[in-house]
Amino acid sequence: MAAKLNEDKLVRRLQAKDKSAVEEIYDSYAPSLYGIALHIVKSEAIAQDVVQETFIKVWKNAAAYDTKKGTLFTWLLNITRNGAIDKTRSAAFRRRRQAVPVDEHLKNNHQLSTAQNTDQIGLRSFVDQLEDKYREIIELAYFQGYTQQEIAEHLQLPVGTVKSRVRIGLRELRKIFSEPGLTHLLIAAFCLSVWWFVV
Amino acid sequence: MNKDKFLQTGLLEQYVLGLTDEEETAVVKQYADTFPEVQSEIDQMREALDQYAKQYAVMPPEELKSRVMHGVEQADQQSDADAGAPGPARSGSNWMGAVFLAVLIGASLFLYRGKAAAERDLASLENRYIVFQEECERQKAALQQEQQVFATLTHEATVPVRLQATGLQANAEAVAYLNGLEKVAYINAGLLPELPTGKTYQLWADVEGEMINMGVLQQQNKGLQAVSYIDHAESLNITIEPEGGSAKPTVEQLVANGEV
Repeated sequence: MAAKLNEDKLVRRLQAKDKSAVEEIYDSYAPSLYGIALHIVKSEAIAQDVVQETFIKVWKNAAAYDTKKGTLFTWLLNITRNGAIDKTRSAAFRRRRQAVPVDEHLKNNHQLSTAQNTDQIGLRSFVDQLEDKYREIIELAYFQGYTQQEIAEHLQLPVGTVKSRVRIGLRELRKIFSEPGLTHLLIAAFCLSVWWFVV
Repeated sequence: MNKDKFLQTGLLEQYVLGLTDEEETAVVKQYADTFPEVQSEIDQMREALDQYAKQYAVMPPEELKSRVMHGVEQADQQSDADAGAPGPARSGSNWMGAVFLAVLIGASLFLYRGKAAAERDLASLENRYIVFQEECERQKAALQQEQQVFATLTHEATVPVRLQATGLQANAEAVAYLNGLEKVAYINAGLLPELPTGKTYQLWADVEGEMINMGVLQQQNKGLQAVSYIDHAESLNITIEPEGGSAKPTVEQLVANGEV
Protein backbone atom coordinates (compact mmCIF):
# COMPACT_ATOMS: atom_id res chain seq x y z
CA MET A 1 0.00 0.00 0.00
CA ALA A 2 2.81 2.36 0.98
CA ALA A 3 4.50 1.57 -2.32
CA LYS A 4 1.29 2.41 -4.15
CA LEU A 5 1.07 5.75 -2.31
CA ASN A 6 4.68 6.59 -3.18
CA GLU A 7 4.00 5.71 -6.78
CA ASP A 8 0.95 8.00 -6.83
CA LYS A 9 3.08 10.79 -5.45
CA LEU A 10 5.77 10.15 -8.03
CA VAL A 11 3.21 10.22 -10.84
CA ARG A 12 1.74 13.48 -9.53
CA ARG A 13 5.21 15.01 -9.55
CA LEU A 14 5.74 13.72 -13.09
CA GLN A 15 2.43 15.21 -14.18
CA ALA A 16 3.43 18.49 -12.52
CA LYS A 17 6.46 18.49 -14.87
CA ASP A 18 8.98 17.83 -12.13
CA LYS A 19 12.09 16.50 -13.90
CA SER A 20 13.46 14.92 -10.74
CA ALA A 21 10.48 12.54 -10.96
CA VAL A 22 11.78 11.35 -14.35
CA GLU A 23 15.14 10.69 -12.74
CA GLU A 24 13.55 8.68 -9.97
CA ILE A 25 11.50 6.68 -12.43
CA TYR A 26 14.62 6.09 -14.48
CA ASP A 27 16.58 4.91 -11.45
CA SER A 28 13.80 2.51 -10.49
CA TYR A 29 12.83 1.08 -13.84
CA ALA A 30 15.59 1.68 -16.40
CA PRO A 31 17.19 -1.78 -15.99
CA SER A 32 13.85 -3.54 -16.56
CA LEU A 33 12.94 -1.32 -19.51
CA TYR A 34 16.39 -1.50 -21.07
CA GLY A 35 16.45 -5.27 -20.59
CA ILE A 36 13.08 -5.65 -22.32
CA ALA A 37 14.09 -3.35 -25.18
CA LEU A 38 17.33 -5.28 -25.58
CA HIS A 39 15.46 -8.58 -25.48
CA ILE A 40 13.21 -7.38 -28.28
CA VAL A 41 15.57 -5.47 -30.59
CA LYS A 42 18.78 -7.38 -29.76
CA SER A 43 20.94 -4.30 -30.30
CA GLU A 44 22.33 -2.24 -27.45
CA ALA A 45 22.32 0.97 -29.50
CA ILE A 46 18.70 0.54 -30.64
CA ALA A 47 17.64 -0.53 -27.13
CA GLN A 48 19.13 2.67 -25.76
CA ASP A 49 17.21 4.66 -28.37
CA VAL A 50 14.02 2.87 -27.35
CA VAL A 51 14.57 3.69 -23.66
CA GLN A 52 15.27 7.31 -24.45
CA GLU A 53 12.16 7.57 -26.62
CA THR A 54 10.16 5.88 -23.89
CA PHE A 55 11.12 8.51 -21.34
CA ILE A 56 10.43 11.32 -23.79
CA LYS A 57 6.95 9.90 -24.38
CA VAL A 58 6.47 9.46 -20.64
CA TRP A 59 7.45 13.09 -20.10
CA LYS A 60 5.22 14.39 -22.89
CA ASN A 61 2.22 12.19 -22.20
CA ALA A 62 2.36 12.08 -18.41
CA ALA A 63 -1.04 13.74 -18.22
CA ALA A 64 -2.62 10.85 -20.13
CA TYR A 65 -1.55 8.26 -17.56
CA ASP A 66 -4.27 7.22 -15.13
CA THR A 67 -3.06 5.47 -11.98
CA LYS A 68 -6.39 3.64 -11.73
CA LYS A 69 -5.85 1.87 -15.03
CA GLY A 70 -2.68 0.03 -14.08
CA THR A 71 0.66 0.36 -12.39
CA LEU A 72 3.27 2.85 -13.49
CA PHE A 73 5.55 0.00 -14.46
CA THR A 74 2.89 -1.56 -16.70
CA TRP A 75 2.51 1.77 -18.46
CA LEU A 76 6.26 2.21 -18.87
CA LEU A 77 6.67 -1.38 -19.97
CA ASN A 78 3.96 -1.05 -22.61
CA ILE A 79 5.51 2.10 -24.05
CA THR A 80 8.93 0.44 -24.16
CA ARG A 81 7.57 -2.79 -25.59
CA ASN A 82 5.60 -1.00 -28.30
CA GLY A 83 8.55 1.25 -29.11
CA ALA A 84 10.85 -1.74 -29.41
CA ILE A 85 8.37 -3.74 -31.49
CA ASP A 86 8.00 -0.72 -33.81
CA LYS A 87 11.75 -0.80 -34.33
CA THR A 88 11.63 -4.47 -35.26
CA ARG A 89 8.97 -3.69 -37.86
CA SER A 90 11.38 -1.59 -39.88
CA ALA A 91 12.36 -3.07 -43.23
CA ALA A 92 15.77 -4.15 -41.98
CA PHE A 93 14.32 -6.04 -39.05
CA ARG A 94 11.68 -7.72 -41.19
CA ARG A 95 14.32 -9.04 -43.57
CA ARG A 96 16.30 -10.42 -40.67
CA ARG A 97 13.29 -12.03 -39.11
CA GLN A 98 12.33 -13.72 -42.36
CA ALA A 99 15.85 -15.00 -42.84
CA VAL A 100 16.03 -16.66 -39.43
CA PRO A 101 13.66 -19.53 -38.64
CA VAL A 102 11.51 -18.98 -35.56
CA ASP A 103 13.11 -21.72 -33.48
CA GLU A 104 16.54 -20.35 -34.23
CA HIS A 105 15.27 -16.88 -33.51
CA LEU A 106 14.02 -17.86 -30.07
CA LYS A 107 17.17 -19.76 -29.33
CA ASN A 108 19.18 -16.67 -30.22
CA ASN A 109 17.01 -14.61 -27.93
CA HIS A 110 17.71 -16.95 -25.16
CA GLN A 111 21.43 -17.00 -25.81
CA LEU A 112 21.56 -13.22 -25.83
CA SER A 113 19.74 -13.05 -22.53
CA THR A 114 21.90 -15.71 -20.97
CA ALA A 115 25.05 -14.00 -22.15
CA GLN A 116 24.00 -10.87 -20.33
CA ASN A 117 22.91 -12.74 -17.27
CA THR A 118 25.75 -11.42 -15.15
CA ASP A 119 24.20 -7.95 -15.40
CA GLN A 120 20.69 -9.09 -14.89
CA ILE A 121 18.81 -8.03 -11.87
CA GLY A 122 15.85 -10.33 -12.34
CA LEU A 123 15.80 -14.04 -11.73
CA ARG A 124 15.58 -15.81 -15.05
CA SER A 125 14.95 -19.18 -13.47
CA PHE A 126 11.25 -18.36 -13.21
CA VAL A 127 10.97 -17.96 -16.95
CA ASP A 128 12.49 -21.36 -17.37
CA GLN A 129 9.74 -22.83 -15.27
CA LEU A 130 7.32 -22.07 -18.07
CA GLU A 131 7.03 -24.83 -20.63
CA ASP A 132 8.64 -24.00 -23.98
CA LYS A 133 5.41 -24.27 -25.95
CA TYR A 134 3.83 -21.58 -23.78
CA ARG A 135 6.90 -19.47 -23.52
CA GLU A 136 7.39 -19.23 -27.28
CA ILE A 137 3.85 -18.01 -27.74
CA ILE A 138 4.26 -15.35 -25.03
CA GLU A 139 7.58 -14.35 -26.58
CA LEU A 140 6.09 -13.93 -30.04
CA ALA A 141 2.95 -12.15 -28.88
CA TYR A 142 4.28 -10.02 -26.08
CA PHE A 143 7.83 -9.29 -27.18
CA GLN A 144 7.66 -9.55 -30.94
CA GLY A 145 4.17 -8.15 -31.45
CA TYR A 146 2.95 -11.03 -33.61
CA THR A 147 -0.78 -11.45 -34.23
CA GLN A 148 -2.42 -14.79 -33.47
CA GLN A 149 -2.50 -15.51 -37.19
CA GLU A 150 1.23 -14.81 -37.52
CA ILE A 151 2.03 -16.98 -34.51
CA ALA A 152 -0.05 -19.78 -36.01
CA GLU A 153 1.81 -19.49 -39.32
CA HIS A 154 5.23 -19.34 -37.75
CA LEU A 155 4.65 -22.26 -35.43
CA GLN A 156 2.61 -24.09 -38.04
CA LEU A 157 -0.25 -24.59 -35.63
CA PRO A 158 -4.01 -24.06 -35.98
CA VAL A 159 -5.17 -20.67 -34.63
CA GLY A 160 -7.35 -22.53 -32.10
CA THR A 161 -4.27 -24.20 -30.61
CA VAL A 162 -2.54 -20.85 -30.38
CA LYS A 163 -5.56 -19.44 -28.50
CA SER A 164 -5.65 -22.28 -26.02
CA ARG A 165 -1.90 -22.07 -25.46
CA VAL A 166 -2.24 -18.32 -24.80
CA ARG A 167 -4.85 -19.08 -22.14
CA ILE A 168 -2.93 -21.89 -20.47
CA GLY A 169 0.38 -20.08 -20.81
CA LEU A 170 -0.87 -17.02 -18.97
CA ARG A 171 -2.52 -19.13 -16.31
CA GLU A 172 0.81 -20.92 -15.79
CA LEU A 173 2.64 -17.63 -15.68
CA ARG A 174 0.29 -16.32 -13.01
CA LYS A 175 0.79 -19.48 -11.04
CA ILE A 176 4.59 -19.10 -11.19
CA PHE A 177 4.52 -15.52 -10.05
CA SER A 178 1.82 -15.89 -7.43
CA GLU A 179 3.21 -18.91 -5.65
CA PRO A 180 3.24 -18.23 -1.91
CA GLY A 181 6.89 -19.19 -1.69
CA LEU A 182 7.92 -16.69 -4.35
CA THR A 183 8.20 -13.70 -2.04
CA HIS A 184 10.24 -15.70 0.43
CA LEU A 185 12.39 -17.03 -2.35
CA LEU A 186 12.99 -13.51 -3.67
CA ILE A 187 13.92 -12.25 -0.20
CA ALA A 188 16.24 -15.22 0.28
CA ALA A 189 17.86 -14.60 -3.11
CA PHE A 190 18.26 -10.92 -2.27
CA CYS A 191 19.84 -11.68 1.08
CA LEU A 192 22.11 -14.21 -0.58
CA SER A 193 23.29 -11.71 -3.18
CA VAL A 194 23.85 -9.03 -0.53
CA TRP A 195 25.82 -11.54 1.54
CA TRP A 196 27.81 -12.52 -1.55
CA PHE A 197 28.66 -8.86 -2.29
CA VAL A 198 29.62 -8.11 1.30
CA VAL A 199 31.82 -11.21 1.63
CA MET B 1 -22.71 -13.72 -21.56
CA ASN B 2 -22.25 -13.87 -17.79
CA LYS B 3 -18.87 -12.93 -16.34
CA ASP B 4 -17.83 -16.48 -15.35
CA LYS B 5 -18.47 -17.71 -18.84
CA PHE B 6 -16.62 -14.69 -20.20
CA LEU B 7 -13.61 -15.49 -18.03
CA GLN B 8 -13.51 -18.94 -19.62
CA THR B 9 -13.36 -17.64 -23.20
CA GLY B 10 -9.66 -16.83 -23.02
CA LEU B 11 -10.33 -13.38 -24.43
CA LEU B 12 -8.80 -11.73 -21.33
CA GLU B 13 -5.51 -13.55 -21.84
CA GLN B 14 -5.46 -12.56 -25.50
CA TYR B 15 -6.28 -9.00 -24.46
CA VAL B 16 -3.37 -8.63 -22.03
CA LEU B 17 -1.00 -10.06 -24.62
CA GLY B 18 -2.26 -7.53 -27.15
CA LEU B 19 -3.74 -10.19 -29.41
CA THR B 20 -7.34 -8.91 -29.53
CA ASP B 21 -8.72 -6.84 -32.39
CA GLU B 22 -10.60 -3.58 -31.86
CA GLU B 23 -14.00 -5.22 -31.46
CA GLU B 24 -12.75 -7.79 -28.96
CA THR B 25 -10.84 -5.09 -27.04
CA ALA B 26 -14.05 -3.07 -26.70
CA VAL B 27 -15.86 -6.13 -25.33
CA VAL B 28 -13.12 -6.79 -22.77
CA LYS B 29 -13.12 -3.17 -21.64
CA GLN B 30 -16.88 -3.24 -21.23
CA TYR B 31 -16.70 -6.35 -19.03
CA ALA B 32 -13.82 -4.89 -17.03
CA ASP B 33 -15.77 -1.69 -16.39
CA THR B 34 -18.85 -3.60 -15.35
CA PHE B 35 -17.26 -6.35 -13.22
CA PRO B 36 -14.47 -5.52 -10.78
CA GLU B 37 -13.51 -9.23 -10.77
CA VAL B 38 -12.76 -9.02 -14.48
CA GLN B 39 -10.59 -5.93 -13.92
CA SER B 40 -8.86 -7.74 -11.06
CA GLU B 41 -8.14 -10.71 -13.35
CA ILE B 42 -6.64 -8.35 -15.91
CA ASP B 43 -4.51 -6.66 -13.24
CA GLN B 44 -3.20 -9.99 -11.99
CA MET B 45 -2.32 -11.19 -15.46
CA ARG B 46 -0.57 -7.92 -16.17
CA GLU B 47 1.31 -8.18 -12.92
CA ALA B 48 2.47 -11.66 -13.92
CA LEU B 49 3.60 -10.35 -17.31
CA ASP B 50 5.37 -7.45 -15.59
CA GLN B 51 7.20 -9.92 -13.39
CA TYR B 52 7.99 -12.03 -16.41
CA ALA B 53 9.36 -8.99 -18.23
CA LYS B 54 11.39 -7.84 -15.22
CA GLN B 55 13.40 -11.02 -15.43
CA TYR B 56 15.05 -9.72 -18.56
CA ALA B 57 16.36 -6.68 -16.67
CA VAL B 58 19.84 -5.61 -17.75
CA MET B 59 21.87 -2.75 -16.28
CA PRO B 60 21.95 -0.05 -18.96
CA PRO B 61 25.23 1.76 -19.63
CA GLU B 62 25.70 4.66 -17.24
CA GLU B 63 25.63 7.32 -19.95
CA LEU B 64 22.09 6.34 -20.92
CA LYS B 65 20.67 8.26 -17.96
CA SER B 66 22.21 11.57 -19.03
CA ARG B 67 21.09 10.85 -22.60
CA VAL B 68 17.54 10.24 -21.41
CA MET B 69 17.52 13.39 -19.27
CA HIS B 70 18.95 15.36 -22.16
CA GLY B 71 16.23 13.95 -24.43
CA VAL B 72 13.56 15.00 -21.93
CA GLU B 73 15.13 18.43 -21.72
CA GLN B 74 15.08 18.72 -25.52
CA ALA B 75 11.52 17.46 -25.75
CA ASP B 76 10.54 20.16 -23.30
CA GLN B 77 12.04 22.84 -25.49
CA GLN B 78 10.45 21.47 -28.64
CA SER B 79 7.08 20.62 -27.13
CA ASP B 80 5.55 23.91 -28.19
CA ALA B 81 6.82 23.61 -31.74
CA ASP B 82 5.64 20.05 -32.38
CA ALA B 83 3.17 18.62 -29.95
CA GLY B 84 2.93 15.45 -32.03
CA ALA B 85 4.90 12.24 -31.82
CA PRO B 86 8.54 12.67 -30.86
CA GLY B 87 10.98 12.28 -33.70
CA PRO B 88 13.80 9.75 -33.65
CA ALA B 89 15.79 10.05 -30.45
CA ARG B 90 18.95 10.76 -32.38
CA SER B 91 17.50 13.78 -34.17
CA GLY B 92 17.96 15.87 -31.02
CA SER B 93 21.62 15.10 -30.81
CA ASN B 94 22.05 15.51 -34.60
CA TRP B 95 20.49 18.94 -34.38
CA MET B 96 22.76 19.78 -31.49
CA GLY B 97 25.67 18.41 -33.47
CA ALA B 98 24.87 20.66 -36.43
CA VAL B 99 24.63 23.71 -34.18
CA PHE B 100 27.80 22.71 -32.42
CA LEU B 101 29.59 22.27 -35.75
CA ALA B 102 28.37 25.66 -37.00
CA VAL B 103 29.50 27.32 -33.78
CA LEU B 104 32.81 25.52 -34.06
CA ILE B 105 33.36 26.67 -37.67
CA GLY B 106 32.33 30.21 -36.73
CA ALA B 107 34.65 30.22 -33.75
CA SER B 108 37.48 28.81 -35.88
CA LEU B 109 37.06 31.54 -38.50
CA PHE B 110 36.86 34.19 -35.81
CA LEU B 111 39.94 32.89 -34.05
CA TYR B 112 41.78 32.47 -37.36
CA ARG B 113 41.08 36.10 -38.24
CA GLY B 114 42.19 37.12 -34.80
CA LYS B 115 45.35 35.09 -35.18
CA ALA B 116 46.14 36.58 -38.61
CA ALA B 117 45.63 40.11 -37.24
CA ALA B 118 47.79 39.31 -34.23
CA GLU B 119 50.50 37.96 -36.52
CA ARG B 120 50.41 41.15 -38.61
CA ASP B 121 50.62 43.27 -35.47
CA LEU B 122 53.46 41.17 -34.18
CA ALA B 123 55.43 41.50 -37.44
CA SER B 124 54.91 45.28 -37.43
CA LEU B 125 55.95 45.52 -33.79
CA GLU B 126 58.99 43.37 -34.46
CA ASN B 127 60.05 45.71 -37.29
CA ARG B 128 59.57 48.75 -35.11
CA TYR B 129 61.46 47.05 -32.32
CA ILE B 130 64.39 46.36 -34.65
CA VAL B 131 64.37 50.01 -35.81
CA PHE B 132 64.31 51.19 -32.18
CA GLN B 133 67.04 48.79 -31.28
CA GLU B 134 69.23 50.00 -34.13
CA GLU B 135 68.51 53.60 -33.20
CA CYS B 136 69.37 52.81 -29.62
CA GLU B 137 72.66 51.20 -30.64
CA ARG B 138 73.44 54.20 -32.76
CA GLN B 139 72.72 56.58 -29.89
CA LYS B 140 74.78 54.47 -27.56
CA ALA B 141 77.74 54.42 -29.95
CA ALA B 142 77.44 58.18 -30.51
CA LEU B 143 77.31 58.79 -26.78
CA GLN B 144 80.35 56.60 -26.24
CA GLN B 145 82.20 58.50 -28.91
CA GLU B 146 81.20 61.83 -27.38
CA GLN B 147 82.31 60.64 -23.98
CA GLN B 148 85.59 59.50 -25.44
CA VAL B 149 86.08 62.86 -27.15
CA PHE B 150 85.12 64.68 -23.97
CA ALA B 151 87.56 62.54 -21.98
CA THR B 152 90.30 63.38 -24.46
CA LEU B 153 89.52 67.09 -24.47
CA THR B 154 89.57 67.27 -20.70
CA HIS B 155 92.69 65.12 -20.48
CA GLU B 156 95.61 66.97 -18.86
CA ALA B 157 97.95 65.97 -21.70
CA THR B 158 95.66 67.53 -24.35
CA VAL B 159 97.00 70.67 -25.99
CA PRO B 160 94.73 72.98 -27.97
CA VAL B 161 96.11 74.48 -31.18
CA ARG B 162 94.44 77.54 -32.65
CA LEU B 163 94.81 77.78 -36.44
CA GLN B 164 94.58 81.37 -37.74
CA ALA B 165 93.69 82.53 -41.25
CA THR B 166 96.67 83.30 -43.45
CA GLY B 167 94.72 86.01 -45.29
CA LEU B 168 94.11 83.92 -48.38
CA GLN B 169 90.57 83.23 -47.24
CA ALA B 170 88.72 85.33 -44.69
CA ASN B 171 87.54 83.68 -41.48
CA ALA B 172 89.49 80.48 -42.20
CA GLU B 173 89.93 79.49 -38.57
CA ALA B 174 89.90 76.20 -36.72
CA VAL B 175 90.86 74.69 -33.35
CA ALA B 176 92.72 71.39 -33.04
CA TYR B 177 93.40 69.32 -29.93
CA LEU B 178 96.46 67.06 -29.70
CA ASN B 179 97.13 64.43 -27.06
CA GLY B 180 100.63 63.02 -27.30
CA LEU B 181 100.01 60.54 -24.51
CA GLU B 182 97.12 58.74 -26.18
CA LYS B 183 98.22 59.68 -29.70
CA VAL B 184 94.85 61.17 -30.71
CA ALA B 185 94.01 64.38 -32.52
CA TYR B 186 90.70 66.24 -33.10
CA ILE B 187 89.88 69.31 -35.10
CA ASN B 188 86.78 71.49 -35.22
CA ALA B 189 86.49 72.15 -38.96
CA GLY B 190 82.92 73.44 -38.80
CA LEU B 191 84.12 77.03 -38.52
CA LEU B 192 85.91 76.98 -41.92
CA PRO B 193 84.16 78.84 -44.79
CA GLU B 194 82.25 76.66 -47.25
CA LEU B 195 84.15 75.51 -50.35
CA PRO B 196 82.84 75.11 -53.94
CA THR B 197 82.15 71.53 -55.01
CA GLY B 198 85.24 69.59 -56.13
CA LYS B 199 87.37 71.22 -53.42
CA THR B 200 88.21 70.11 -49.89
CA TYR B 201 90.24 71.22 -46.89
CA GLN B 202 93.21 69.01 -45.86
CA LEU B 203 95.23 69.10 -42.60
CA TRP B 204 98.99 68.73 -42.51
CA ALA B 205 101.58 68.44 -39.75
CA ASP B 206 104.92 70.19 -40.26
CA VAL B 207 107.63 67.90 -38.89
CA GLU B 208 111.10 69.29 -39.46
CA GLY B 209 110.06 71.05 -42.67
CA GLU B 210 108.11 68.07 -44.07
CA MET B 211 104.33 68.25 -44.48
CA ILE B 212 102.69 65.01 -43.30
CA ASN B 213 99.03 64.28 -44.13
CA MET B 214 96.69 64.29 -41.10
CA GLY B 215 93.52 63.78 -43.13
CA VAL B 216 90.85 65.38 -45.27
CA LEU B 217 88.36 67.51 -43.33
CA GLN B 218 84.64 66.74 -43.65
CA GLN B 219 82.98 70.15 -43.90
CA GLN B 220 79.51 68.82 -43.25
CA ASN B 221 80.74 67.58 -39.89
CA LYS B 222 79.98 70.53 -37.62
CA GLY B 223 81.52 69.09 -34.47
CA LEU B 224 84.91 67.71 -33.63
CA GLN B 225 86.50 65.41 -36.17
CA ALA B 226 89.17 62.83 -35.40
CA VAL B 227 92.32 63.14 -37.50
CA SER B 228 95.63 61.26 -37.54
CA TYR B 229 98.03 62.14 -34.75
CA ILE B 230 101.55 62.93 -35.91
CA ASP B 231 104.41 62.96 -33.45
CA HIS B 232 106.72 65.95 -33.17
CA ALA B 233 104.54 68.29 -35.20
CA GLU B 234 105.82 71.85 -35.04
CA SER B 235 102.77 73.39 -36.65
CA LEU B 236 99.38 72.40 -38.12
CA ASN B 237 98.40 73.65 -41.60
CA ILE B 238 95.19 73.62 -43.63
CA THR B 239 95.30 73.79 -47.44
CA ILE B 240 92.58 73.67 -50.11
CA GLU B 241 92.97 70.54 -52.25
CA PRO B 242 91.00 68.81 -55.00
CA GLU B 243 88.21 66.52 -53.68
CA GLY B 244 89.60 63.34 -52.09
CA GLY B 245 92.74 65.11 -50.93
CA SER B 246 96.35 65.17 -52.20
CA ALA B 247 99.56 63.28 -51.31
CA LYS B 248 101.49 66.57 -51.17
CA PRO B 249 100.06 69.88 -49.98
CA THR B 250 99.34 72.70 -52.43
CA VAL B 251 101.31 75.29 -50.49
CA GLU B 252 99.83 78.19 -52.52
CA GLN B 253 96.45 77.27 -51.10
CA LEU B 254 97.45 77.40 -47.39
CA VAL B 255 94.48 79.06 -45.72
CA ALA B 256 95.24 78.61 -42.00
CA ASN B 257 98.04 77.53 -39.68
CA GLY B 258 99.02 77.49 -36.05
CA GLU B 259 102.09 76.69 -33.92
CA VAL B 260 101.93 73.66 -31.67
